[in-house]
Amino acid sequence: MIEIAYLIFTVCLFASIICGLVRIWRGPTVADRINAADVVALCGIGLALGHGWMRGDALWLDVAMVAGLVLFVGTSAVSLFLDPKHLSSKEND
Amino acid sequence: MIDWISAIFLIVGGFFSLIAGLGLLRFPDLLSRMHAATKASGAAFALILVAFVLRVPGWEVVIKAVVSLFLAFLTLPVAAHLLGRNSSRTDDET
Repeated sequence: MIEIAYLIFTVCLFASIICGLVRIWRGPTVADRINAADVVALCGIGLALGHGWMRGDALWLDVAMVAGLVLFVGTSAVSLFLDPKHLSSKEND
Repeated sequence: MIDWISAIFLIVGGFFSLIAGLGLLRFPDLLSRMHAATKASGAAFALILVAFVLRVPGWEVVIKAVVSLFLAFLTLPVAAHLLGRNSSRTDDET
């Protein structure tokens, strides 16, 4: 029963990852692609948590916490880098 | 019994994540896609963490899960806000 729940969970998350990859492939703007990459990374964190749930291992919670923090830093850094106000203020310096 | 409740939480979390992916794929606009991705992903993360806490014993697991959920709920809207501000500023030029 636990294995069936884990199987359903994994199939759902991989389907979500495939949807995010399709959106990265044909996203019209850069913000779409960053947003889809955010969702794909969150699904990867969810897969790590699901693996820890299946094995009963508490180590994967640390993995999820650190990966979430790194994901936030990456997303905000890229979106601040693409900000036109930020770029223009850097050019004026 | 607690494993069954935990399995139900895990399946609902996976379903919310699938909703996030489908909304990301099917919605027509950038802002509606961002809405689907951010909120459904936050709900899925919270449900998966609840399932994890219910199955893995120990107090440090509960504390780490609360800290992780707090950080996720703090950082997901900030990232979405930066992306939305960026897109609204670039739409003025094009």
